[in-house]
Amino acid sequence: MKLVRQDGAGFEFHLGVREKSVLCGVLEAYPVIPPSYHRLTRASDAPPAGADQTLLTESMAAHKAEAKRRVEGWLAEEQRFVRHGQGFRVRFNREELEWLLRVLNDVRVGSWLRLGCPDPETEVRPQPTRENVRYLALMEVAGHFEYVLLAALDGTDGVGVERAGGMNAGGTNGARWARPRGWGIPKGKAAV
Amino acid sequence: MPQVAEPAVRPHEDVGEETESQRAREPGYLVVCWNDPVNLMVYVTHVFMVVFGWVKEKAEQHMLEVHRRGRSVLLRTSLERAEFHVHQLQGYGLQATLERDDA
Repeated sequence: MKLVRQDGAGFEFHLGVREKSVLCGVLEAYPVIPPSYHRLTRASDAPPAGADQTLLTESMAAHKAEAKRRVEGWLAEEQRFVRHGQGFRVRFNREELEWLLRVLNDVRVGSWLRLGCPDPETEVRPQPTRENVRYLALMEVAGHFEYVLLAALDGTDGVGVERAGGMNAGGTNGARWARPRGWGIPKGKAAV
Repeated sequence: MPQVAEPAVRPHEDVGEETESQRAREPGYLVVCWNDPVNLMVYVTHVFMVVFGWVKEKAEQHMLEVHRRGRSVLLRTSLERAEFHVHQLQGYGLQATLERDDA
């Protein structure tokens, strides 16, 4: 997936046939983070009562339900992807790009949770099982697409380095991104 | 000098209610973002810029503080606003919470 054009109306990306299929597969997985994951506070004696926590959980559940409907509607619009050469072109306005980022990040973080919260700092390895092994791929791929979108929004190569020479129709300048490697969580680079 | 008569009936004062709403408005709460090994650094910077309207340098500074120190206090504000921002940040998938400022 490469950014090929950016103008006042939005961002245009080129995707290969398999990339399109993978992107749609990632979006279909949404939502992955369970609403119960969201905690309002870490302090046990904090004043926000159970009602505040319930409000947060319900608010997240409502937000995810609405976003899920939008994802389904988006995926159902076949004309979203326009055939171009060996692949497809797809356009997003800025608001859509922001929305897509949140969806992709939900899939990434949710996949991480399903894998037992792996952490290279503490040597906690992913715990793939027959049931959750697909989340390993989802975490990686969602992270890759996030980088592409963030680079497009930021006007950089994805890690803060400005693109040289601006954007051209071929999209070659936007093609280099630092992206998650290994099992998606390289120390000190790809994750907070 | 004219004198103003003391009203015979004072407006009802509900001390409990006032204290509760005052507490919600007092800037005694912290919005804290916690480290995790999954959210991308560039994503976290981006979210801080979008949610708080910060310039990139400030957003990166807080992102790096989260990364290096395990947490960063993003805001000191009222309970009401702290809850609002925690909802926003969690909507983006970040581990953000509100904590009482005991300092």
